[in-house]
Amino acid sequence: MKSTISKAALAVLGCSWVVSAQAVDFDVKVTNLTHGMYLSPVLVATHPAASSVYSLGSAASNNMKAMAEGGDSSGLQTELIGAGSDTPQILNGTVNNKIPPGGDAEQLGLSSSPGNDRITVVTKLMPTNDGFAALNAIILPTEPGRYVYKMDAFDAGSEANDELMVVGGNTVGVQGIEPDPDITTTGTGGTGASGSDNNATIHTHRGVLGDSNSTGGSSDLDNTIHRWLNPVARVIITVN
Amino acid sequence: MKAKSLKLRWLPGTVLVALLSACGGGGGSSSSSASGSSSDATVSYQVSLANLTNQQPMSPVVAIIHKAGYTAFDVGEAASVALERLAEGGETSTLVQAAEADPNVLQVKTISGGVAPGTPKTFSFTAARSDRAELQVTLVTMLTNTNDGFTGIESQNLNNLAVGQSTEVTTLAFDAGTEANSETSATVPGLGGTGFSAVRDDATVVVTQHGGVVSADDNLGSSGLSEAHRFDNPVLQITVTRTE
Repeated sequence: MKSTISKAALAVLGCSWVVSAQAVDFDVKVTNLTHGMYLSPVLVATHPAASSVYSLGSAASNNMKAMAEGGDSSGLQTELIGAGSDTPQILNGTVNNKIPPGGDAEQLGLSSSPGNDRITVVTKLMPTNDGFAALNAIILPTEPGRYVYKMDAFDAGSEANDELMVVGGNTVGVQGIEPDPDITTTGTGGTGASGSDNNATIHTHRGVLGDSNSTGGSSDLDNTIHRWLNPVARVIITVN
Repeated sequence: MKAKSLKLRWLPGTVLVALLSACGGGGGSSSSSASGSSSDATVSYQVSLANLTNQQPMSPVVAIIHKAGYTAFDVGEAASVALERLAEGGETSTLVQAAEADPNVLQVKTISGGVAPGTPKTFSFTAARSDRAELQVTLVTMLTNTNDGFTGIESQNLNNLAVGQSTEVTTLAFDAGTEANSETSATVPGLGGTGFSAVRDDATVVVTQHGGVVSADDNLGSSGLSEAHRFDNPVLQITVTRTE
């Protein structure tokens, strides 16, 4: 009991050196809370405090653009490893590695190295132009227990939210949303829901618009299916 | 004799309202007593519900007091027919019957009349003190101006509440995944439309969070809803106070 109290007290005082010195064994589970969005394979990595992969209010790096526009986390993985992270993990969902609405993905038996006291979780919301959900370099808990986090949706600020299905749209620099055989609720023939982002930095996603015309209208998304309210995903970290 | 526990455990969203309170003060009336009238044998809680939406009246509420092992709903799981009846039509009876038949359920309360925006509702319940350490509460209610939207809490622990303490939880809106979100007047019970229908035609067939309503004012011409029916999270505030 005595050690529990002192540890809790130190955590309150923000003595991060106390926790960073230890390795942590943990499990991670990510649940897609949305009604109509899929999550790309989720990147999970533990790393030093200094190596966050993005900052709210700052422009997205090319690696973050690849993640948010294309669901491609390879650049972020390289970046994190270079910053001293533990081997980045990819949590795959059940539909061609994507996590469907209401679905989840879990990775058991992860371990952080001493000093890697932060954890980052990133995934792209599909289909969106450049929407993603993330936990950005939060402190990895060290006390055994079950910790529940909610992820909100962010906009990378790097691509107009036109909500139009374009082959190749999941490529950095290619405007549009990639048609996806796993996501059958999308339409075609839209004229474009929105122009360029007014805020070109990473900001809170304002949500998708959608429309009720699957072969026309302004958007190729469906306004009764694809809209969401925050939070869009739940992360459970279980420290063993 | 050492001090029992100095470690205060905080739930997310927990607010410690009052630490000091006279024991057994004249709070809520605790009526249920099985064997004797000794107040030592029971614990009591008062629950206050505040609808945080603009115009989503909430249906009659089902509150289930239970131990671990009972589950009314879970994100990612298909809704039971009992939940579907509540989420599509605000019907409570099937859910109440199902809960009462569950061996892990201690008691079930129905709060009739629902919870209207701007009009908080309060109810209380009493449980055996011997069950206190395992006590959980699950609560569900429909957002009546939706097709199959509901809100509530699932297996919220109450075991860390001391007498006089409160815990405050705000809830998210869920979609039962049992009815397409057409928003037509014919399918939204708050607009006089059909409540429960056995047909399951939702785009996603498991419980998820609700994406919100679109409304006719936002270019869903077939919607019977107006912009006033839109909502965002959180939609309901639940305050539980242990009174005994």
